[in-house]
Amino acid sequence: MNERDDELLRRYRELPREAPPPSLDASILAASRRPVRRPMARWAAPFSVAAVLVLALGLVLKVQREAPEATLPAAPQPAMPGTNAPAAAAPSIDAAKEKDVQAPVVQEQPVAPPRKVEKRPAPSRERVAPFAPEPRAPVAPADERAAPATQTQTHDVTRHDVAPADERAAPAADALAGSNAAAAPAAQRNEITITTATAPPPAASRAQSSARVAAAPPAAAKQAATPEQRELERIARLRAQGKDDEADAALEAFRRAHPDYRIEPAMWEKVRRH
Amino acid sequence: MSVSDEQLMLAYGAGDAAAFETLYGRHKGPLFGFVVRSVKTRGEAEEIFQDVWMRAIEARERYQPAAKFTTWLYTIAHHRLIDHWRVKGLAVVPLDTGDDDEGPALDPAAGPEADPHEIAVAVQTRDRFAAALAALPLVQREAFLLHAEGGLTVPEIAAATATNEEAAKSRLRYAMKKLREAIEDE
Repeated sequence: MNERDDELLRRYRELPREAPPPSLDASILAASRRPVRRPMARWAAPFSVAAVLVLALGLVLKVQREAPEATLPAAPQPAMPGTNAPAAAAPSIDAAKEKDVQAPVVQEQPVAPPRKVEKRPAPSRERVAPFAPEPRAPVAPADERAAPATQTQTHDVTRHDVAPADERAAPAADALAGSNAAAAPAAQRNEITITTATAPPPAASRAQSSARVAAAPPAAAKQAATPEQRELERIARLRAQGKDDEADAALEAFRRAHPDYRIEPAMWEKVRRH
Repeated sequence: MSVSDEQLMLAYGAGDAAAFETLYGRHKGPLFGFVVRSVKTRGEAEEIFQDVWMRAIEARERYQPAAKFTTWLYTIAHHRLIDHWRVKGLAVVPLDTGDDDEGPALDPAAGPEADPHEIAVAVQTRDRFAAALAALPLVQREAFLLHAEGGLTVPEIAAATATNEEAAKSRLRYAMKKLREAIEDE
């Protein structure tokens, strides 16, 4: 670099200088204060995908595990000594379906294994739940109240009135019952007082209970029959007498009068037109 | 004793935002002068100027003082200008033009005010030096501006423009010769 070059540079620096506008300065300085945008770590994306898959799979499995409990028919009520539960198991029917779909035929259902023995000395007043995922084992009362209660069960338990022995001992079942409470007809929510004094009886006593059910006096049944049941029996008699039109009209009137009443399958078989 | 550019850049890479402000204050004028005389409009110059600094900011953590900071900064500017010229469809500066010629025959539209008539008008009405600078072939003007604005030496110009030292030296020598002739014609 010689003097001539220096002179050249001096002449260059005499040229009007240009500077960036202040707004540009501010923009660049603001950008310089922002933190570095770090690219996503190499493992982050696969890890995120794997985590999402695991969570989704777990959720699906959980739903699948719980879904059958909510949709399977209730386990039949095991016959208990002192109760007049029918020998035929009671299928559980969704309350919402009953009015639209043909009533199911009462048939033998596999008896679910009895629930674990849970002793509750205090008597409990249980609500009738439309679903009972686990078999309950109410013990027949020993006192005189057994008669009306037994008669009630003679008519109602056949289909849906699975009375839980201990509602507090089965929160899952209670939740199901609660969730279906809206769909359950009011008439079906008749409460049955059951004294749970002992644990569920052994299987041997169930046969004895069934025998008692078969021998239940019909008079007692009538004694405990509700007005709705009596009306249905009247319709059944009309149907049996071949007065189908009259039976249909009576059935239709019954439906209008008791829109929420759930007709038990056994009764439905009697009153419906064949 | 003032902190060197390289130390400032390292400090900025370590999180010292004030170091960048010092660095920016030192180099914004020369860099903007380099860019604004390398393109046709001020708007393009501002866009490129900002882009160069943004690239420097993004590369703060990767910066290694293997060379002078100015060499690194003007290398970024050189690459950005090449991108700009390509987008504009202008002649791209070849990497090596030899040492004894004036470089490639550039498209007259490559540089600002490269039209001969405009040059003549500029000679009459404006600073002849500025016109001569604008009339320089692109590679020569770039070499001169890197030297005059950035203070880069011949090896540093060669590094910044990705060419060899002989080519850089030739470009700078021819550029200064033409500018000197323009001054001496006064």
